[in-house]
Amino acid sequence: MSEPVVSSGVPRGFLGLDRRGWPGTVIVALIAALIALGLPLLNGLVSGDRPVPAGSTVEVGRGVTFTAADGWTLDAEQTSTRAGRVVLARGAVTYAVEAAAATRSLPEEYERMATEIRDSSGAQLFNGPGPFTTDDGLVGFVGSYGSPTSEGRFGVFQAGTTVVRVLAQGPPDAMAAGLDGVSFMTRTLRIVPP
Amino acid sequence: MQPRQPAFWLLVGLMALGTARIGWIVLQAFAQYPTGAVLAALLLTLYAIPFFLFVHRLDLFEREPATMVGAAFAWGGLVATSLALSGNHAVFDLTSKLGSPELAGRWGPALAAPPIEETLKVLGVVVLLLIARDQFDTPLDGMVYGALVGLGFQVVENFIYCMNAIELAGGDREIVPVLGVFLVRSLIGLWSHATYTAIAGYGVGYFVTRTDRSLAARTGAVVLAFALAFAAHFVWNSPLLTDAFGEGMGILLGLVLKGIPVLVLLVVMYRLARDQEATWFREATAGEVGTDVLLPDELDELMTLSRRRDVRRMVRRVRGRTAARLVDRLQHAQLDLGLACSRTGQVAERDADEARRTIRLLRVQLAEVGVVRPGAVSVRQGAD
Repeated sequence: MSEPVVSSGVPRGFLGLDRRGWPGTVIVALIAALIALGLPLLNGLVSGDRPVPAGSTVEVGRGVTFTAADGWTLDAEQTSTRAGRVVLARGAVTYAVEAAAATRSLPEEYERMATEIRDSSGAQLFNGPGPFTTDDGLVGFVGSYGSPTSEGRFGVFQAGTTVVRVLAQGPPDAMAAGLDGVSFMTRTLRIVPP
Repeated sequence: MQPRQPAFWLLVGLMALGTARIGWIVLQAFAQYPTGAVLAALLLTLYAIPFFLFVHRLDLFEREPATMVGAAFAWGGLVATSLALSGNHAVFDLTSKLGSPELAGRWGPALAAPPIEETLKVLGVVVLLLIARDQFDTPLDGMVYGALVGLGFQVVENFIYCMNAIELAGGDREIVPVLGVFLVRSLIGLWSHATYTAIAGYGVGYFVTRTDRSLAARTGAVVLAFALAFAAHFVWNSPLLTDAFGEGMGILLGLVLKGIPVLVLLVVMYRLARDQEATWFREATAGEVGTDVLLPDELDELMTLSRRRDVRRMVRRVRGRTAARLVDRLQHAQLDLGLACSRTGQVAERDADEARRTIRLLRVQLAEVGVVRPGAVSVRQGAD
């Protein structure tokens, strides 16, 4: 005999297991690995940055839009129109806008967002809530924070049944350079009921 | 379960990984939204039970072993879901990057889920086949295991979606979002994942059991079955028909319309599989019919659950509960005989002899309570 056979008649192969089962098992394992590991790997290799023309209208969802500032790109990986979230990036600074159904009052929404930021590693609120009105008359509250590695500005706006959360964050130097763009885009926020 | 099969250890390893990943998600859910998590778990358990009982009865001639049933459900609920989380996310992102976020938002579910999830689920059927080839006698076995894999997937996926819904609603309300998700995904979905994988599983079962057909025909069958499952899932996840009837009830109507053809297809395939199973059983027992262990009438009565039940009810009415139980055991012994006759080898021969002995003993016991079939040879005359 070329291969050892156990008393039950099963031909032993690698690791003493039934050699007849190895090809199918390896194929299944490869397919599973391709899906669970290969696709995420491929995703990591594909860049998600897409230039957004300055002055173009960016749609977030639920009737929320804003105007893109110069020099920002769309982070397609973080953006999800289905979830009502758009993320732009300029270097190391990100500008995220989320639109969702309003379930609480504006002050409560602000406090919830502030709490989330406070709870994230080492963040300290500098100021806020401060009132802010966009060019379109949308009223909200804004604040800012700092942490060991980043600074940020955040705000919440509400109109009807829609709440908009805005968060701009990045390393301090980068934030300073991107602040004009952040302020511009926040001023252009609009909520037009669908 | 066969520890000597490499696929067994692949199953064990992937189930360990899946348990860790899904277990962590579930633990976090119970910690964060205890009311919603308990409600979701309760609703989905109640949802799964009737389906389990229904699937358990699908295979008329051979009850699937509990270990295989558990493994199928666990593959769907732990392995396929956890692997699909990574794969789906990657495809969504790639669609967004290579297409657009708008494309990903609208068509992402249809582009990601069918290839990822249907592949992972049908791999579960393949793994069970690799572990226990002798449990696949007809295409119906592939269909049953596929349905169980799909059910496991659906239960866990729906639980995760319930928790996502609570979070999307702001986290304040737990009951309404869970009920909403359960209504749309579980009730209107009508076991969608189970249906898709039952169809794909039929193809796997056909490929390995219909060795009377050419390789080309069998390959075509398994490819077609998978394509049907894929297409059904694609249509279900796509925006097609969802917007056609307006918001609210219109969306629900669109979902129902998308699900009905798939259910019809499943019923058709099940009937086909059941007829094939009956043919298989008749061929397997051909050498036993007309002997003292299996009368022609008894073979006909074994063909459907309702006929078996009618016989037992009639016996119970005429001769009482004890006699009816003996008839139940006789029917099971005859099913075991058929199963043993369909297989080859020393173990099968031993099982067949054991079944014959059991049948003859039961005939004696039935005669003692006054149940004697015309044509059944007396054990005292026909005993070895």
